Amino acid sequence: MNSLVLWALVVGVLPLFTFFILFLGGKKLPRRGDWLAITFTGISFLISLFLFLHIWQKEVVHVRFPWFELGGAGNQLVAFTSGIYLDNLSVLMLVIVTFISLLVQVFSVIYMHGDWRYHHYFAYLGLFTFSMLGIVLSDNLLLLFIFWELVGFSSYLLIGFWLEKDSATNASKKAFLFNRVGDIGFLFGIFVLYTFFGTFDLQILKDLVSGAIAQNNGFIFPNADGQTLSYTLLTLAGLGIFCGCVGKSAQFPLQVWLPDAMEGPTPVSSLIHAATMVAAGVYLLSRCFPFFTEDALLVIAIIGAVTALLGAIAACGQNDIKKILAFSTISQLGYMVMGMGVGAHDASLLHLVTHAFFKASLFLNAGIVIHAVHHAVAHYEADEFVDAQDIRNMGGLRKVLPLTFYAYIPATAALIGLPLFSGFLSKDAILSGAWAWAGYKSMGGNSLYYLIPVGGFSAVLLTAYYMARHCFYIFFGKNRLEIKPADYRHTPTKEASWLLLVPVLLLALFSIAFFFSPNPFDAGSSWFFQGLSLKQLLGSTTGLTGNMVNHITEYLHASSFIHVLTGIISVGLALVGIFIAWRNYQKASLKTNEELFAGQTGVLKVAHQHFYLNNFFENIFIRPFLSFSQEVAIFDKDIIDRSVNAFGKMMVILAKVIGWIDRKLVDGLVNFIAWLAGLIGKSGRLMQNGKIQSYYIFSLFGLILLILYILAF
Amino acid sequence: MDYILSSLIFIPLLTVLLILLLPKQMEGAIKSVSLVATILQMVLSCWLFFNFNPTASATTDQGYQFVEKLNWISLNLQSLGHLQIQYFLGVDGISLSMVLLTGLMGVIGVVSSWTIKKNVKAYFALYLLLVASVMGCFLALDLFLFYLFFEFMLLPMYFLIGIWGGPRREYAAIKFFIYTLIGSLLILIVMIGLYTSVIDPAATAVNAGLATNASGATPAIVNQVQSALVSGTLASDKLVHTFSIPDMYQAKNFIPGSILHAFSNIQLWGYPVRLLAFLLLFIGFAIKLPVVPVHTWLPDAHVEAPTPISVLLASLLLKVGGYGLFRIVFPVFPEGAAYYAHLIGGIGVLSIIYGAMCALAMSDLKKLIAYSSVSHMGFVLIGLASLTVEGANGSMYQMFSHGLISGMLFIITGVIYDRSGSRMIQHFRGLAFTMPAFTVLVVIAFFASLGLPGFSGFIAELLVLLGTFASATVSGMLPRWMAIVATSGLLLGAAYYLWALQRMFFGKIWVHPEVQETPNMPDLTRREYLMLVPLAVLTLVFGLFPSLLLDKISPAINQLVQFILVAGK
Amino acid sequence: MTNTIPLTLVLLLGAVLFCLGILAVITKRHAIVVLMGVELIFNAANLNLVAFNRQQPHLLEGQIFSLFVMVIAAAEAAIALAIVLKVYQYFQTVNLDQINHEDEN
Repeated sequence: MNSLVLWALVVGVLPLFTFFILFLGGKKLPRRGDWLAITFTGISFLISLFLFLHIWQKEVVHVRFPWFELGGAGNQLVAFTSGIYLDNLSVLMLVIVTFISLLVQVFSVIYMHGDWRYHHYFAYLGLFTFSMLGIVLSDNLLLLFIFWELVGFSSYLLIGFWLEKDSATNASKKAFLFNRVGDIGFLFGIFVLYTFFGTFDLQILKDLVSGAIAQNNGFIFPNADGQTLSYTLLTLAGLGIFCGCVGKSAQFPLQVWLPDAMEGPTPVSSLIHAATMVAAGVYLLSRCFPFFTEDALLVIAIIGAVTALLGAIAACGQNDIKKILAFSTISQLGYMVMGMGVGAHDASLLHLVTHAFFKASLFLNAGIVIHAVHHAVAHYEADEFVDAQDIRNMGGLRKVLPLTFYAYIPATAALIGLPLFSGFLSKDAILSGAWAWAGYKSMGGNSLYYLIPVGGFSAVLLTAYYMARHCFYIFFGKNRLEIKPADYRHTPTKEASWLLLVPVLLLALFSIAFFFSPNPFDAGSSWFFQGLSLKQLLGSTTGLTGNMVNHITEYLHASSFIHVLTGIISVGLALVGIFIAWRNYQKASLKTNEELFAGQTGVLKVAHQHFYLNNFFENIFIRPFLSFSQEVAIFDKDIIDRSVNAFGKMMVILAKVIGWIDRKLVDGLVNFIAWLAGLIGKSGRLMQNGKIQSYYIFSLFGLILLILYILAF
Repeated sequence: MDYILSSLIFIPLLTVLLILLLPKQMEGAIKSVSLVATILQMVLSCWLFFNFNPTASATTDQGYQFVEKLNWISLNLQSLGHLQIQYFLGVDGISLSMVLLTGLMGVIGVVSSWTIKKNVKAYFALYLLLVASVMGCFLALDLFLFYLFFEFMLLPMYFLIGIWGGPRREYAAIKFFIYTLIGSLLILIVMIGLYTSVIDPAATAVNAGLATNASGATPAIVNQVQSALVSGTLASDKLVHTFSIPDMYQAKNFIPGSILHAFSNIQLWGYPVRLLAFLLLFIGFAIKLPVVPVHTWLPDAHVEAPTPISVLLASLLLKVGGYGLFRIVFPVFPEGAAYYAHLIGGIGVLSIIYGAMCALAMSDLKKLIAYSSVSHMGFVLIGLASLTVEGANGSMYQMFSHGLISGMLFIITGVIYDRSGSRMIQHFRGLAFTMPAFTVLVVIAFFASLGLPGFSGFIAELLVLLGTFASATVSGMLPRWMAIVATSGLLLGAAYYLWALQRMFFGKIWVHPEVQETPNMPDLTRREYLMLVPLAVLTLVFGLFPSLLLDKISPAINQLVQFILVAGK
Repeated sequence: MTNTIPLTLVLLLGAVLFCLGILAVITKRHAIVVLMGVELIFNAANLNLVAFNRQQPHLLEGQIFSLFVMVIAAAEAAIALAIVLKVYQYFQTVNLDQINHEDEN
C-alpha cells in the first residue's frame, strides 16, 4: 500500500481517537483533555501539510479496500468498497479542515472555559473533524454519504451543545431534519447511479459517464448491460445529489436551519457552519460535476443565484452579530453553488477556500466581541435583559478591541470583495464565469440567462452594504451602552487572551490575496487555479458537460476583457454599498436605539424575518404534517383498532346469539321431550292417588269403555 | 456437535423441567439456572454462527447444515399414501442470523428479567419455554414441526403478558393471542393443502422399492421418482406425503392434479388456488410481522408487556413473521411473490410511512417505539418484495439489526419506567442532567434506529432502499416511486426520535410532580449497563463490518432470490 | 197373575238401585255409608235375580242365588263393619279421604 494512504488514514483517525478518549475518559484527564485534542489535531494538520506537499500537482493516489459483498453463490458479486482518494482537491481540503479545526480548538480553550461538558465539547469537535475528513478522503458516494450523515450528527451534537437551552436543542433538531430532507434527495441520486452503473465509486462512475453514448433521449453506457438511462432520470439524479448540497450547504429553500444553528457555541459556528461543513455541499458538487447534465447545472445555477441574493437581503435586516454572518454564509454558499452551476468549477472551489478563511475569521472575531460584550453587560445595570449579541448594543469597539478590529478589517474586505483581498479573486472569477456562461447559453437568443450574473452582481452590492453596516455598528461610532472600555476586558491590560487572538489574526492573514495568487487582481494565473481546474481533477474525462465547460474556459481565456469588466463593476458596486451603509449608519450611530429602529418596516422587516420562510415551513409543512400525524394516530386508534375490537365484539355477540340458540332451541327440544315424558308420568301418577273410590271410578270407566268397544266391533 | 441444533432447543426446555423441580422460594437459584441455560444457548449459537460454512451450503443436504432428520410420525394410510412428519432441523444462511439473534437476546432478556418479583418460578419457566419455541421455529425445516413451535410461542407469551403485564394486561394478552391465532389458522389451512400436494421423493423411492433407505436415494433415483410422478405411474398408496419444507420448494414434488400443483389451474372465486394459498400464508405471517393494517395488537401488547417480554416480542417474535416469509411464503409460492409484488411492496411502504406517522403522534414512549417497529418492519417487507440481491439481503439485515436495536429501545423505556412508573414523554424534561450515561446510550439507540451510518440499521435500510430502487430495472418487481416514498420514512424516523429526545432528555431538568416529587432519577445500574452496552457495541460492530454477517448469509439469500425469480416467471 | 208387574219396571228399579249404590260408593266419604251403598248394589243384584226367576218359576235358581247373596252380604257386612271399627280405632275417623293417606308417624 502506498505510504501516503497510511498517512491519510492517520490524519482521519486521530480526531476519532480524540473523540473516543475524551468522550469516554475525558472527565478524568487534567484540563479535561483539551491539550490532547489540540495535539492530535495539530499532528493531523502537520501530516496534512506533508500530504499536500507530496500530492499537490504531483500525483493522484487511489486505494480501494473491499468493505462487504453480497452474494457469491453462482451469480455476480455485488461488492461494496471503501477507499481513499487523494488528489489536489482532497489534500487541499485536508489542510484547510485540519488547520481551521486546530485554530478553532485553540480558540475554544478560552471561549468554552469552565463549561461542565468541556471535554464533551472537544470530543464532539474531534468527531466532527473525523467525519469531515472522511468526506474529503472518501473515494465513493456511499462512503461520502456516510460521513455526510456523520457531520450532520456531530453538527447536531454541537449546535445543541448547551442542552438546557431550548432554542439550541430546537435548532439542532431543525438542522438535522432539514439536512435529512436534502439527504433523501442525495440518496435518490445515489440510487439512480448505483442502479445503472452498479457502483458507487466516483472514479469508475466518472469513466462510465464519460463513455456515455448519447442515443435518442437517453444514454447507453458501456459496462452497464446496455441499459438505457434516460436523460431525464440522469438529470433527476444530478438534482438529487444536488439536494444533498441544498440541505448541507443551506441553499434555497432549505437554508432556514443555518441561522438557527447560530445557537451553538460561536467557535462551532465558525468551524462547522461557516468554514467546513456547509462547504461540503460545494465539495460534493465538485466531485459529482461529471454527472450533471446541462439542465441540472442550470437548476443549480438558479438555486445558487437565488440563495446568494436572498441570503444577502436577509443579512441586511438582521441585528444579531452572528445571524448577519450566518446569512452572509448562506449568500456566499449561494455564490459557490452558482459558480458550480455555471461551470466555473475552479472559481467556485477557490471561493470555498477563501471563504473558509475569512468567514472563520469573522466568526471567531464575533466570538471575541460577544465574549467581551458579555463580560461588559455583567457590569451594566439595566432593568431589562441586554442581548450581548445584538449589534445595536455595541459601537466604538475598535478602541476597546484594537487587535480584533485589525483582524476584522481584512476579513470583511475579503468578504465584500475589495481588490487585494482573497474574496475579490474568487468572487470575480465566479462572476466572470457566470457572465461567460450566460453568453454561451443565450446564444440561442434567450437572454434571460443573464439574470444569473445580474443576481450575483446585486448580491455584491448587498454584501458590501450589510458588512459595512456590521462593521460600523460594532467598531465605529460611540458605545451605545456607555460602558467603560475597561469593563470589556477580562484583564485590564490585554483586550483578550492570545489564545483567542492568534487564531483570528492567522485566519485574517489568509484573507489577503497574495496567498492565493501572485497577481492579486486576477486568479486565472494562480497556482491555485491550475491545481483545481477541471482538467486536473477529472483528467482526460470531461463529464457530461465537458463541451460547455471547455467552451466557457476558452472564451474566458481568449478575452481578458470580461475579467477586467466584472472586476471594475463589482468593485464599483461594493463601494456604492459601503457608501450607502456609511451614510445610513455612520450618523445613525449617534442616535438612540429607539430612533434607529422605530421605522423598520417594509423590505427590512421581511428581510429580518428571513422572508417568513420559517413561518412558511412551520405553517405549510410541519404543523399540518404533525396534526395529520395526530389524525393518523387517531384513525389508527379509533378506526383500525376499534374495527378490530368491533370485530371481536361482533364475534362475542354472535357467540352469544349462537349460545342462546343452543340453549333455547337445541337444548330446549331435548328438554321439551323430557318435560313431555314427565308430564305424562305426572298425569299417570294422578290416577294412583290411593283413593279406593277413584280406582273404582277408573275401573268402572274402563269397564264401560271395554263394553262400548266390544259393542262397537 | 452432531446434535447442536437439538441442544439449542432442548437446553431451555430441560431447564424448564429443572425449574419446575426447584422449590418456589429459591428465586435466586431459578434466576441463575435460567441465566446459565440462556448463556449456554448463546454460546452454542455463536459457535454455530462461526462454524457455519457459507460456501459449502450448496452441497450439503440441499444447502442445510448441522441437519438432524428423524422420522417422527409415519402412518400408512393405504390409498391416501403415507403420512410423514419428520423431526427435521437444519440451518442455512436464512435462519443463521435469526438463531444468533435468539441466542443473544435470550440472555439479555434474562438479565432484564432480574427484577421480576411476582411468581418468579412460573415466570422463568414460561420465559424459557418461549425462548425454546422461538429457537425451534428458526431451526425447524418440517412445516409441521415449524407450526408446532409457532403455536407453542403463543402460550407462554399469553401468560407472560397476561400475568406479569401492566394494567390492561388481560385485554392485551387476549388480543395478542387471538390475532396471532387467526394468523396461524390461515397458515394451517395452507399447510394441509401443501401436505396433500407434496411428496418426499426420497422416501417415496424407498416406499416404491427403488432405494433401500432414504440416504440411498441418489439424485438419479429422485429424478426417476419425480418423472414417474409426473407421468402418473406411481400408485397413490406408494406416495409419501410430507411436510418437509425443502421438498415444497421443488415444483416437481407436487402431485399432478393436486390442489396446489403449479399447473393444476384449480380456481376458487376466479383466483388460482396457489395465489390464494400465497395470500393466506402471507397474511398469516404478516400479522406476526406485523404490517399495517393488522398491526394493532403490537402497540397494546408492547405497552402492557413487562420490559423483558417487550424486548423478546420486538426482537424475536416479530422476526418469526419475517422469517416465515423468507423460509416458506416466498420460495414455496414464487409466482405469488411475483404476482403480488406490488401489493406487498405497497403494504411495506404504507407500513413505513403510517407507522412513522403514528409514532410521531404518540406521547407514550413505549408506544412510540412499538410504532417505530411497525415502520421498520415495513423495510423488511419491501426489501424482500423487491426480489433483488440488495433488497433481500437488506431485509434480512434489517431483521437482525432491528432485533438488536429494538431490544435496546425497550430496555430504555424499562429503565425510565422502573425509576418513575411513567413512560409519558411529556412527564420528563432534561433527563440528560441527572442520567448522563443513560442519555448517551439513548442517543446511540435512537440514532441507530433512525439509521445513522455506522450503526447496523443504516446498512440494512440502505440495502433495502437500494434494492427497492434497483428493482424496477433489475427484477421488475417494484416501481421506483415506492423507493422514494420509503426513503422519506428515514426523515420521519429522524423526526420522531429527535423530537422525543429533545422533549425528554434536553432542556431544564424537570419531572412531572405527579410522577415524582423530586426530578432526581438515578443513573444506570450495573445490570442495566450489562444489557445496553453489549447491544450498543453489537449494533456498532454490525454497522461498521457488515461482512461479518453478510458473508455468512448472503450466498443463501442470493440463491433464494434467484430461485424465486426463476421459478416465479 | 194377570196383574203382574212387568219385568222391565223391575229391572229399571234394579238399575236405579244399582246406580244409587254406585253413587253412594263413589261419592260418600263415610265408610259406613259406602258399605250401605255396597248393600244397595247387592240388593239391586238380588232384585234382578229374583225378577229373572219369574221367567222360569219352576227352577227357583234365582231365588236360591239371592239367598246366597244375602248370606254372604251379611257376612261381608259383619267383616266390613269390624274393619271399619278397627279403622276407626286406629285413625280416629272413618272418613275415607283421611285414611287413604299413609300415616307418616
